[in-house]
Amino acid sequence: MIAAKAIPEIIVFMSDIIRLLPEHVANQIAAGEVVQRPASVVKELLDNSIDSGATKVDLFFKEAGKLLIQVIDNGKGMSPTDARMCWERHATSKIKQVDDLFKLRTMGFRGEALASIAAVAQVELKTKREEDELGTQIGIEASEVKRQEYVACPKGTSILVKNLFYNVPARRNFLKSNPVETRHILNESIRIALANPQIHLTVQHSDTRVYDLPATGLKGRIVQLFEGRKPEDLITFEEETSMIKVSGFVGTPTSAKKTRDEQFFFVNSRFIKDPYLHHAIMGCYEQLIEKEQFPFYLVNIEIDPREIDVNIHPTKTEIKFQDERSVYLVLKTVIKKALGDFFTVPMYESSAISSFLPPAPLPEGYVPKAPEPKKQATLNPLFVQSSTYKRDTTKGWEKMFETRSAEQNVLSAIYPKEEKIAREELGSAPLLQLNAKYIFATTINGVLIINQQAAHERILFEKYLAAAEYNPIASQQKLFPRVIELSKTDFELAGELIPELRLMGFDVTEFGQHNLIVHGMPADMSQHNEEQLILDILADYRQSALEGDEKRKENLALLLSKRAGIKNGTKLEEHDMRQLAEQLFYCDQPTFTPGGKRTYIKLLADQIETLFK
Amino acid sequence: MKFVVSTSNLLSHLQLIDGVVVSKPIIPILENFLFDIKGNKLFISSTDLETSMTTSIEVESNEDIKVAIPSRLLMDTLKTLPEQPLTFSVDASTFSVEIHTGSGRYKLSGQGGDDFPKVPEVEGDKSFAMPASVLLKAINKTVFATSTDELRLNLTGVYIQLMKDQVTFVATDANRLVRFIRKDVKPGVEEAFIVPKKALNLLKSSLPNDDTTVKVDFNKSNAFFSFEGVNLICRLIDEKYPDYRAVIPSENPNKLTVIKQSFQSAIKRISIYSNKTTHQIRLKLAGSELVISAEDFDFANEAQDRLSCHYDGQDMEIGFNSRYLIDMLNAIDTDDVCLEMSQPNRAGLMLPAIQADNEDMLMLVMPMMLNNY
Ligand SMILES: Nc1ncnc2c1ncn2[C@@H]1O[C@H](COP(=O)(O)OP(=O)(O)OP(=O)(O)O)[C@@H](O)[C@H]1O
Ligand SMILES: [Mg+2]
Repeated sequence: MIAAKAIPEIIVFMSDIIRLLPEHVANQIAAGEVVQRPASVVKELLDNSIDSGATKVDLFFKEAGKLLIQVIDNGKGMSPTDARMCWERHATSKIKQVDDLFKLRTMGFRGEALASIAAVAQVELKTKREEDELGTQIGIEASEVKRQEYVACPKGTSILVKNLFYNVPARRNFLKSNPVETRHILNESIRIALANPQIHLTVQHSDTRVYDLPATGLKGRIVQLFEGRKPEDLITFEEETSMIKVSGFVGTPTSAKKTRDEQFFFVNSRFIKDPYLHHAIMGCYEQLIEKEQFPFYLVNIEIDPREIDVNIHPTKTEIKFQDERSVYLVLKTVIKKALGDFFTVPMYESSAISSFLPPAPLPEGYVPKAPEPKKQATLNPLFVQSSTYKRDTTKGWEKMFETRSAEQNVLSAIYPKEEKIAREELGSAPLLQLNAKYIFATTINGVLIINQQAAHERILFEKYLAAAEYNPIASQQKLFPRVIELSKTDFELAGELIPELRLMGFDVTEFGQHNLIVHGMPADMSQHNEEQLILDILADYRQSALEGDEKRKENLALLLSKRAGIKNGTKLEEHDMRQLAEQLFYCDQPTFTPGGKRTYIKLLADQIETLFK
Repeated sequence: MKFVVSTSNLLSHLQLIDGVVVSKPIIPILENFLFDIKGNKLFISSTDLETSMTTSIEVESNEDIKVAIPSRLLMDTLKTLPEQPLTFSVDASTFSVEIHTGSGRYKLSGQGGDDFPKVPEVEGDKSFAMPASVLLKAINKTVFATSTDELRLNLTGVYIQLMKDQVTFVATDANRLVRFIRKDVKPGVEEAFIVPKKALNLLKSSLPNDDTTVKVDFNKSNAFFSFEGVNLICRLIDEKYPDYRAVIPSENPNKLTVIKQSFQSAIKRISIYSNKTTHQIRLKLAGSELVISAEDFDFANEAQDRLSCHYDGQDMEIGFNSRYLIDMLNAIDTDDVCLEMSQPNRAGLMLPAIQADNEDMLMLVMPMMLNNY
């Protein structure tokens, strides 16, 4: 330990900025464990780099951070004294008195992070300020300063943390597997990347460049980070009141996912978790997505630091709003509006039939406002004859508003809520397939339009789930059993999954050090490359396991239903279409896929009447 | 240029080779027949690039020409015309084709025959011959068991294995397998190749069921079947065939013999009650009784029926896909059928009670299991 008494003797120059917090201030700070895992180190180091005003930050780690973590920034650097000082507990340049706790604009404020890290690892610091000729290099092991010397280095700070918990075996053994720890590190990086799109961040794991994220806007950053998130899936919102400003993006209901790891709150650029505000957002999606679905959201809240308290949890991922209720209400209103606005647009721009197939129904209770004049030009001619339509009169406005509501009535009616269509209703008239994608069936009083891929996903999901719970699927034994070679991690994963896989009809057994033998496949699954399918399942499962999703059966059923289902673009025989339709309406929840996509819509005869008016 | 041919003569030849033509092919000209007149012979060809067929007719003609004629249009016309001589006249510059009947005139727009893909010539390395009826039977007994899975190309055809003094036809879709051996065909060479399903189905509908000789020439990439002026040439499937011999079990102590007819109709009946997607039925064997059962958990349907049989072996219960059993029973010509088994998770062998002369027919089906047995 550095002798605490030695500190006051250090000569403090004006240019040195780190001060020891007076005891009464230090006592005010939420105490607790700062470093729990490699990801905590990453978070603290990145936070410091952000606070240092850097425009480029590079993160490098090895062996899931257990072996090495390094963060290099081009920020303001530290003076030689500060470079030494920063390793002390309660040494910070960011606050001076208790009052400052309520004016925080920086990520850090406790002066704890570096001290905590230095206590449990071997650390190497290099730092140089713009104005200094030479930088400072310091080596510390288990809080003990081993070296301090001048060094030539670029402006900024580089901190290298080696062998985390080398001196605390109990902690080290408590760490999770490399893939899990890596996931945690990447999650921290993602949060920081999202909170600071203006900073160029790179992330490298051993030899792999995981992210290279040049400075961009928020939307650009989201697209950079999340493969598969398309700009058109993101709905922007922004609202400022006297108290707060909220802005960001929410995902369209159709782009909602089964996992909740693409949901972010940032308060003054700090990532936080807040179940209460989460609830506000999920409320807005209520009728739009299914129960186990999670929409994308990224909410930036800017609020006077006086209105919040960050100092309630050592990891700083929880904060307290003075007036939580108002924040909740503002957020709810803004997002509801954003979703509502989004859905009014396509209805005016789309052609006749697609106006019946918008991505999702309108939120309940959402009252549409009269549309903006510029949208009138593209008004759907099916509802208002453009020749009789007068662009500039208020009458035109009102007329349009009426049409709009009529149309909306049709819309809300064709999306059955919880109503279940009886199999008998399908009738015996031939089914038709459109574009190798939609199945049309006439019922006694209307038309059903079924999306074949979505429908099959739902059917299979329930079937595989039932298989894992009470109704196992028969396994067709194969003449030529396949041997699948797996990586060590996949092999372990497969071991965990075998009981469920067997119930779902995969007759697999472990073989040797890292092989699986497939003796049989689910009897109802035709034409499948079993090797590819199993590898895909393992890959998908590996992903969701990291995300900490414990619902193994659901997960597996979901993966399988996606992989094994009939795809859009497949031509179906009448018999297969009928079977699909019948099975769909036999499902417990036929209306949505487990991923929240509509499986069918229903158009009643009188709704069709309305269309011809 | 003119030639004369009779309606029925032309139609019957076209029907032999019409199956090759695919609708909406990638290359539009493949929707045509190629009419190629050389001297007094009219060669008509069709192709889908993988498989081609050619037939020939004697005609009277004044000039050689090659023209591609839309197949659908021509076939539809011929099918409705009464038997009579037809005069075809082809304009050598525009390739428009006119058919003159006794009372009418039909004009079709053809295309220059030089645009039609060249039908590959066999550079026949090796060849052997067999009676058409034998080939027909071999196809009928095997082709149903081929796979439709495009991911397993090697299983989408029939594996023909030539030996000095016998020929073996094998088909499998990885769930079941048929092996059909003819000992009266003596190729004299040792060679093996995989013939695509489509070519075999075409042969099936064009081969006469008699002892007309079919000559089979083949090389590394193509096989060439010729009989009675008809030629079929197909590209072979260039894949490795799995080692089927290794999966045919040698020890099957549990032997069931049952009347084919009643076995098959019982399976058909019981399978109505089986799961709609797996078609699983179960055979339960005890003493000299066979109980066939099925259930559909989804609809709470179930059925079982008893058959008397001859059974020699341990009591056992085994599940199969009823469709596979029905297909296989269709390929059995004898009154009684044998099913030889060992364990519920091992292959079952289906055999005719008596093998026909010079024949060895074996079918194998993998069971279906519930993994919570
Ligand atoms: N990358 C860096 N660039 C410049 N100065 C830094 C850097 N990292 C740390 N410092 C200095 O070291 C001090 C101590 O850092 P440390 O992370 O321990 O505490 P903090 O950031 O003030 O508070 P917290 O414990 O909440 O993170 C900081 O206040 C800052 O002055
Ligand atoms: Mg800090």
